[in-house]
Amino acid sequence: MQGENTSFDEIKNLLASGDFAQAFSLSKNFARENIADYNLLERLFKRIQKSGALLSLKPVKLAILADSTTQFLRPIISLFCALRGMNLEIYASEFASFKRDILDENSDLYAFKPDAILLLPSVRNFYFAENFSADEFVREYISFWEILKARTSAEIIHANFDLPTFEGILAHSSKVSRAFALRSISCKIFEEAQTRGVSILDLSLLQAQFCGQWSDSRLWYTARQHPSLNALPVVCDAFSRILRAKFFASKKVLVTDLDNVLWGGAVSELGLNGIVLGSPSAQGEAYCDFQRYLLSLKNRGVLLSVVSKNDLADVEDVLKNHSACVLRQSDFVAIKANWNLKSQNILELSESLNLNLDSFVFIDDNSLEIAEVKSRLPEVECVLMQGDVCDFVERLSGFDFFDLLDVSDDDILRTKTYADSLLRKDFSAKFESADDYLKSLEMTCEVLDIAKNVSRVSQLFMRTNRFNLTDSRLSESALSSLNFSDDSLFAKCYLLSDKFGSLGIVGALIAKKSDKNSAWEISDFAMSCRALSRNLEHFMMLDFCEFLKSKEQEEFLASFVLTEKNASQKDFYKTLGFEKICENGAKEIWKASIKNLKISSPKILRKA
Amino acid sequence: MSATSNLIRSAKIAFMDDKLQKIQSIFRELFDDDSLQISPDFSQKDSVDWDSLMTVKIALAVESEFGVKFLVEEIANLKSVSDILKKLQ
Repeated sequence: MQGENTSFDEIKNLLASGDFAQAFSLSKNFARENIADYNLLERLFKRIQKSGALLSLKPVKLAILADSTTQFLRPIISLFCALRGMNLEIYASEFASFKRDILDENSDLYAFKPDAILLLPSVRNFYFAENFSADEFVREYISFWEILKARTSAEIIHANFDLPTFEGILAHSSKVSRAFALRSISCKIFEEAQTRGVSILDLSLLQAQFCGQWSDSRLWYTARQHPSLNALPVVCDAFSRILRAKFFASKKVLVTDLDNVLWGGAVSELGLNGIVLGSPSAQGEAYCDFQRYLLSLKNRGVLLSVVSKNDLADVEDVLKNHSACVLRQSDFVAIKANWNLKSQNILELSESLNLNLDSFVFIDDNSLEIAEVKSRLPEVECVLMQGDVCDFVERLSGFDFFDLLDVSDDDILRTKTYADSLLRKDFSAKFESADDYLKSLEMTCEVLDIAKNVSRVSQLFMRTNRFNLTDSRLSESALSSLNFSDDSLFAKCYLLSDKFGSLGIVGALIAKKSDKNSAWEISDFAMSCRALSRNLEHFMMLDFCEFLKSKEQEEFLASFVLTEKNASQKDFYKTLGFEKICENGAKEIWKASIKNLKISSPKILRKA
Repeated sequence: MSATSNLIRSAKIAFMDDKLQKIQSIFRELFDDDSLQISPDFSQKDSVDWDSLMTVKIALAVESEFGVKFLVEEIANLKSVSDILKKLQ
């Protein structure tokens, strides 16, 4: 699809005929190609809006708190969010009254109940004063963030200041200048946001990357709009990526080809010393940098895997012995070098890693291979890496597949954890019964409070599809807003280990009692794919039952929301001896009494 | 003498028509209305969609089409098609 010129008329026709999927796919390219054309993008959004295509997207309520106009921003921010699967409902504070909105707890802002809040102070309204202090200035923002966190469960995104290019280059070096002050504010904001769960929309970076007229003074004085209309779509695009990363799971696996993707030339023909990789070749250096980019993805928790038509010995030779090769064997969760169909290899990976195909991205320089995988495995996202290797990093990072806002310890260890799990698979082949196997794993489980593991647990709910019984997507703020000290809340997470190592926190269960006389109800229940078939779900259920017994409760409820992704679990509660008491669309309520539960004791030792 | 001035006059009209045509297609795009007919008299009063924001959009679109540049006060006073034509003379 890349590089094709999509026409507006084509999209219009597709929208009119109701083929929204194709229309959106073309619109994404169209928006990318015409990103500096404000009017065209606005028209595109109007068409999408009229077509009714927005209704099938995830509704997201966004509050924009700005001290300049939001009129120009709104349609474009809605467009880019729509192209990333979100239907925005926007609340914008009255002109320049956003501080009052935040401070007044009865303001319309809070009545709106936003899912996300964008704080957008304009650099045009920032004036430098003699007694300026960056610390003091940022303290006001911090207090806003804290108030917003306390009064809403919204994700908070703060736009830092871009720099006033209109003041000349020398202004930046003087300590008593607006530019200098703005830079110190930005540094401070980045530091503080990190620790407070606030995301930054980095206008300063976007400004630096933007080719064209960023600033338009006339637009500011006539309409209170900054930056220019040419630059505005880039800002909206970046914002929609942040929001997407907040509300949707990112891709988990990158499957890469080798020859002419990780190095130049074919290793089977040229041998270890013949391939183009590393200095002094210009191309060779670019291949190294592309490998570094993939390594950075791995360090953020993306699983790398090789699928290449090569002899394994050649491949291992390069990964082990080439002095310029950045990626080593241990950086990959699996290496499939053989002559099978690539789709077949990817399918096997999906099975052995226990990850759905729609969490895979496949890159290759051969358009036939891309076409083969695309046609057999349409869920896999495919990117053709053709042309100049110098552009590879930019091409791949231009997609939002691997956007992830926070990196947890779990992300850093993910490749090792999954590689361990493949070892376990080999090990399991030796056993006759599943029980024998599970016993031999010597599993232990530590039960922890969600309160102290909010970041990882939120990630678990965001990323897990298959065993996510109510399709919960609990953000960090949503989890933090739970009242953990309340004794009508049960919120535990489960850290599983076995003789091969730790799997990390792989399960979470939340149950509530809505009032004193009502029954306990499991509202959120998720378990990572890597803990499937280990009976951890039974361990978790029994743990909850123990808790209920301590409260002298015999009966309890559990909700279940059926989705395409968790269909394999649709009989989960039935098998355990629950009874379905109510069904409303995809949502079901199940009821159980502890004494009738059919759960055999799992082979997991509880760790104190 | 009068023949020449007539010629100049009709050339001017043709020139104006060409501009009006271009302005019309700008307006059709911005107002998202493919059947919109405009004349020099067409003004802010003739369309509810023509608010202050639209004025800015019109000014920017005219600038990129005709290679002119409006001053801030010209944008503030831009209220009809004839205001645009005046700027383009």
